[in-house]
Amino acid sequence: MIGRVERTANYLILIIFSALVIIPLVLLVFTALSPKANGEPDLSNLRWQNFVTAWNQSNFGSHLVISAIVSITVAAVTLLITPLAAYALSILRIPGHKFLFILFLAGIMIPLEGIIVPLYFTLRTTPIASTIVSLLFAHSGLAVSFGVFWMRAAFRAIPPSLVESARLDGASPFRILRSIALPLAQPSMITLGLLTFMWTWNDFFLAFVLINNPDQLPVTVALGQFATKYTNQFNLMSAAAILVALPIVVLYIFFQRRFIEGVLSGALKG
Amino acid sequence: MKKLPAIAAGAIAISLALAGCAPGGSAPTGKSTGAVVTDPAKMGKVTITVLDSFTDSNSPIGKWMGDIESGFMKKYPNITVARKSENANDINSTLRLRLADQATPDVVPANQGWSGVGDLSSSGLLLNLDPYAQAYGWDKQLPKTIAQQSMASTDGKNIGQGSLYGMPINQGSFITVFYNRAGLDKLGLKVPTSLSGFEKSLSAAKAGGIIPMQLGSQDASATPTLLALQDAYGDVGKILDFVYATKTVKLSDTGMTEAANTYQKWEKSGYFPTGFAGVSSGDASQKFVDGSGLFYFYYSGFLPFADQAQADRFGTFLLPKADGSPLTATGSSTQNFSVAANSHAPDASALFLDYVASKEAGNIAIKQGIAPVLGEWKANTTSSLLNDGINELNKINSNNGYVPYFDWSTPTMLDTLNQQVALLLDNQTDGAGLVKAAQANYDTFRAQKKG
Amino acid sequence: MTVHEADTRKKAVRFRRTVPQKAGARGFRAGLLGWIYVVPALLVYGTVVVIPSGQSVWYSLFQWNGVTAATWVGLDNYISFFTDPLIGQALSHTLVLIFFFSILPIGLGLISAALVSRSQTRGAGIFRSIIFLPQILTSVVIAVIWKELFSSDGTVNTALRATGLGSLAQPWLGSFTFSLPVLGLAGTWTTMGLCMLLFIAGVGNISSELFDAARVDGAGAVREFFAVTLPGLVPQIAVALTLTLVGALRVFDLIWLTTRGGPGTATITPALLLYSKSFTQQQVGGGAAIGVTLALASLLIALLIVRTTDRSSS
Repeated sequence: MIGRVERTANYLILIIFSALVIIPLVLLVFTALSPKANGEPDLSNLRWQNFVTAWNQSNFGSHLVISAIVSITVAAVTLLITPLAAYALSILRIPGHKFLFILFLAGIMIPLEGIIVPLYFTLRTTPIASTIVSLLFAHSGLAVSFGVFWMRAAFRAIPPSLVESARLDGASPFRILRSIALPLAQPSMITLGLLTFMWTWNDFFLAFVLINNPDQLPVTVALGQFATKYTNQFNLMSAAAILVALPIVVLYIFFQRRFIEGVLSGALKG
Repeated sequence: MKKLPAIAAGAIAISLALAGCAPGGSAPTGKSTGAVVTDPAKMGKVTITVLDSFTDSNSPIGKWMGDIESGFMKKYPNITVARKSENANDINSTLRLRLADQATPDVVPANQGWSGVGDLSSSGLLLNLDPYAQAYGWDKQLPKTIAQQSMASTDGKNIGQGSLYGMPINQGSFITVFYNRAGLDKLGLKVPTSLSGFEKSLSAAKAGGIIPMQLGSQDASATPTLLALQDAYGDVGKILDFVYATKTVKLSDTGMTEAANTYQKWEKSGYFPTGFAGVSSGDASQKFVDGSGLFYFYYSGFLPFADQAQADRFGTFLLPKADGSPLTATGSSTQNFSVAANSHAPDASALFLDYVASKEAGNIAIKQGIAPVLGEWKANTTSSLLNDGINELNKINSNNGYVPYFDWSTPTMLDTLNQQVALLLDNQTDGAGLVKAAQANYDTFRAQKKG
Repeated sequence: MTVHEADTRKKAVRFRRTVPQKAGARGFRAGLLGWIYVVPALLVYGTVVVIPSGQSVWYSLFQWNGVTAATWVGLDNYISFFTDPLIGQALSHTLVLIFFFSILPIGLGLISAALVSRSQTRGAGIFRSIIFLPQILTSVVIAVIWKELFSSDGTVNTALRATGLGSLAQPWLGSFTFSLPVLGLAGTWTTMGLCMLLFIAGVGNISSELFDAARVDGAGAVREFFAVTLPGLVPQIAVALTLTLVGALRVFDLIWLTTRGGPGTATITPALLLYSKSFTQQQVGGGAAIGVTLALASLLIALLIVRTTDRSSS
C-alpha cells in the first residue's frame, strides 16, 4: 500500500511533466485554427479552412505523397534485407559473422555528419542525384545497422532447440528462416517497420542536403521552406506543421505500445 | 567489444582503399555553346525551368515576374516556362549544389558579385553568354556599368570584367529611404536634403512619439542601412575599386567606419523599434507598410504594398551625402539571371534572358509601379511613389552614381557583414571593429585569388 | 537523420549488447553459401555508410571547392580548427547545449524518478503516452512550435504583456543573450520525458529489498535516493547520457530553421559549420574534417560511457 501523500506526489509529478509537454502542442493546434496571421488563438472562431489553404499553398499534397513513398519503401526494404542478414549472423553463424557484426555495429556509432559530405558528392555524379531514389537508397543504407541489430536480437531469443530439431528433420536454412525464425520474430518485425517508417518520415537533414530539386522534396523539408517563406503567417505554418506530424501521431496512437517499447524498453532491460 | 576500435580502424582503412584517388573531377559536362540558335522557331517544343526569389506574388516584383512568365509564353508559344519561387536565403545557400546537379534549373537568379556570378562561373557552373551577347547585340544594349555587374573573367580571378555570365532584368533596385508621407506631414517636416537634416528628422520623430525608423534584423538582414550610410560617407570610385579589386583600396577609406558608427549611434539613440532583433525583414517591411515607422531603408520595389493607393502613401529619397556632393546609391538591376552550364535548353534560356532585359520587360515594370533600369524613362506615371523612384534613378544615372553592393567583394562578405552588423547593433563591436573583420575577410580572399 | 533517430538507435543497441549471450543455434554450418543472406544488406550499407565514412577522412585531407580538382593539404583542415574563431564559438555553444539537452533533462528525470513511487499509479499509461510524445515529432515541427512561442509577437511575449510583465518581453530568438538558451530549452522539452520514463522504469527494476533494507536502517528520503536509487539507475543514466550528449553535439535542424546560427554567430553549432563549409562556402575538406571530428567524438562518448559503467557495475 502506498500512502496518500505519496500517491498525490506521483500524480503531481506526472501532471507537471505532461503539462509541460502538452501545452506547446495545444498552442500549436489553436494557432493552426486561428483566423489571424499572427496566430492569436480565438476559440469562438476556429478556422479549419487553414488546413486546406496550407495544403494548397505549397503543393503540400505532393510532398506528403513523396514522404509516404520514401518512408514506406525504406521500411519495406529494411524488413526485407535486414532479417536476412541478421539470420545469417545469429542462426546460420556464417564464417566471419563476428567481424560482420562489428562492422554493422560501427554504423550505429557513426553519426550522419561523418558520412554526409562524401555521400552527397558521390550521389551527385550518379543519374539518381537529387531524386527520391537517392533518398530512399541513402535511408535504406542508414537503416541497415539498426535493423540488423534488432532482428539479430529477436532471432537470438528463439530457443536453439527449435532450430536444432528442425535442422535434424532435414529442413534447409531458408525453410527454417521462413517457417520458424520469421513467424516467431514477427512482433519485432512490426516494431522495426514502424520505427524505420517514423525515422524516415521525420528526417530533415539528409533530404535537405541530398535533394535539390524542389519537386522531389519530402514534406519535412517542404515545411522548413514554408516556414522561412511565410514568416508572418503563423496560423498557416502551424496548420502545415500539424499536417506533417499527423501521420506519425496517428500511427503512434494505434501502435503506442510498440513505439514506446521499441524506443525505450530495450534500454530499460539493459 | 574491446576489439571495436581496431576493427573500426580496419574498416576505415579498407574503405579508404576503395575510395581511391583524390576527390574532384566531377565538374558538370555543360553543353558546347558552339552553335548559337536565336531563332525561336528553330528551338522546337521545349520547357525551361526558371528559379526566382520573388516569393510574394502580391509584391510588385512578384507580379512583374508573373507577367514576364505569361508574356514570354504568349510571345513564344513553343517554349514553356516552369517557374519556381523560393526564399532568397534558401536559394543562395543551395544554388551551388543545384547547379552542379543533373536536374538543375535552366535559368537561375545568381546574385551579382563574388558570392554569385563570380564564384559560380569560376567553378564552371554558369554558361558563358558571350556568343549570345554577340548574336543578340546585348553588348550594345547594356550600359557598361550595368553589364559589368554580371561579368567575370574566365580564369576565375576577377569580377566586373571579362565574359558575360548573366543578364540584368529590366528593373532597377537600389537601397533607398522610404518615408511615410502622413508621418512627415504630422511632424511638420520636409524631405531631408542633407544628412544632418535627416538625423534631425529622426530625433524629431522620436520626440513626436513616432518610431523614427522601422527595422528587423532577425534573419540577418539589417545591412541595407549600413550600405546606404557607406554611400553617404564614402567615395563611389573607391568603393568600386574595392569591390572589383581594380586598385588596392583600404576599407577604412571607403566611408565604412563612419557609416557603422552612425548606424550604432542611431541604435543607441533609440531610433529603432524595440525588439527589432527578433523581427525578420519581411515582417518589418509589413509593419512599415501598415504605417509603423517614419523611415525605412530598403530595396526599391520590394515593399509588399497591397495596391497603388497604399503605395502612394509613401515616398522615397536617396540618403544625402555627408559632404553634400551628388547623390549615389548602392544598386543594380534587381536581379541577375544566369543560365546553368548544365542546362538542357541553353538557347531557349538565352532567349528568356533577352526577354527579361527588353523594353517590353521595362514596360511591365512601369505597369507594376517599378522603375526600369535599361533605357530612357520619364517620371510621368500615375504613381507618385514610382515617379520618385524614376527621378532617383535618373539622378543616379546622370551622376554615374551606381555603387555596386559592397558584399559582392568576396563570396563570404555578406555573412561577415551580417554577423558584424548584428554585433554592432548589440553594441558588441564598433565601426573600427566591423571594418577590421570585413577587411580581414577581403584580404584572405584576395590572397587566395592571387595564389 | 534527426536527433531522435540516432538516439533511439543507440538506445536499442545498448540494450541488445547487454542481453546475456544465449547459446544460439550452434552446429549449423551453412558455410560461405550463407553469405548470400548478408550480401543485400552489406551492399547497401557498404555504399551508404562504410565507404563514405572512409571517404570523409580522405576528403578532410584536401582543400576542395566541390567542383574542380582538389589539393592535398594533409592535416591543415584540422589544424585550422585552432585558429578559426567560429569553431571555438561553436564548441562553446555545444557546451551550453549539453547542459540543456543532457544535464537538465537527466536531472529533472532523476528528481521525478525519486519522487514518483515505485508502485503502480492508476492512469500512468496515459501520462506515459503524453510524456513520450515529443520523441515522435520531427524536428521541423518542434522548430515551428518554438518559433511561435518565442518570436517577438509570439505566445511567450504576449503572455508576459498580458500579465503585466511586459518589461520582460524579449526578441528571444534575436537576442545574443537568450537565443541559445531558448533553443536549448527545445532540447530539454524533447528529451526530459524520455529520461523520466527511463528512470522511473529503472527504479521499478531495483529490488524492493534494497529499499526495505534502507528503511530498516532508518534512511531518510534523501539518503535512500543516494544509497539505493542513484546506484541502481547507473545503467539508465549511461544510456540517457550517451543519447543526449550525442544529440547535443549534432544539433542542426532546430537552429537552421529558427535562427540560422544568428544573431551574428550567437547560435552557431559544429553541424551548421559543417553544412555551410561543405555546401555553400566551397570548403568541402574543412566540412569533412568537422564531420570526422563529430563522428570520433560520438564514438568516444559511447566507448567512454560503456567503459565507466562496466567498471562501476562489476
